Amino acid sequence: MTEAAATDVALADLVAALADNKCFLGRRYAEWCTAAPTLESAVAAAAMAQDEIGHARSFYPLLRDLAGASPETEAETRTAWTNVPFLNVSFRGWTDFVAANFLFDTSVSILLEAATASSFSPLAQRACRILEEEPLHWLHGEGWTRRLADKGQGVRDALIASFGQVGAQSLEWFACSSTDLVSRDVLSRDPEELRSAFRGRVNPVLDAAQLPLI
Amino acid sequence: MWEVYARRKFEEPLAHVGTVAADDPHLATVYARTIFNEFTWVEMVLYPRPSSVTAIKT
Repeated sequence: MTEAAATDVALADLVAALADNKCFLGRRYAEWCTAAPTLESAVAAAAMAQDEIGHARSFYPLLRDLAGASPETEAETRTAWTNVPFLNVSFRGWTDFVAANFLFDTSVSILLEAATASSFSPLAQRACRILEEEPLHWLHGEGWTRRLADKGQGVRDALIASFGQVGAQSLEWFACSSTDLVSRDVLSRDPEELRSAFRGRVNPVLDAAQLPLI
Repeated sequence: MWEVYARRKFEEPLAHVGTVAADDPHLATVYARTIFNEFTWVEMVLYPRPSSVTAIKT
């Protein structure tokens, strides 16, 4: 495989990872539209689900352009999903929702921030547009993290368990960046730099809430 | 509880659009923006109800 071909494959894999994770994050958020702890948070879950599914829908046409039209590049017929494992099953409780919202959603935003000046302009355009909507998701995840951390030992234990699982998979997911993509300016940060940026974003909140750092 | 005010045009006054229940201003902001999203507002502000001053009480 030539270097250019390898980059094309890595780029298609990156776009697929963004599309699939956004798609499944939206699906999992949507399951809480009628089950969240308060009416307000149920509406917020619905709004964030719409946002995430909309973001996914913007990436699948890009995947089709990169990988060629096939049932595997359409959200409706795709079977070879590349999302992180924890999104394969429904959230066990609200702490899983908050972990996905605060940690994983943020990790996707950190990666998109590394794509805002991408040499692959369709990715840069989408990254800039999506990042306009993500600050509200961050506020929701951060707010609920602080709120649940203060609700007694049982809730804290559940939150810590959820954050442990989602935090580990969020860090692992950054492997979808690669030296090749960075050297070609598709992304501006390699996996370790992304992990460092992610920790720098979430750990001050975790520290203030006296929760284990990522 | 937070009182939510918004306006659609800069030349219009802020109008009361509803309330949201939240522990802190961050969550109140998320809730207000996602619940009262029927218009493209140019401004939305939130006031904590405990800070209100009663001018008339019957």
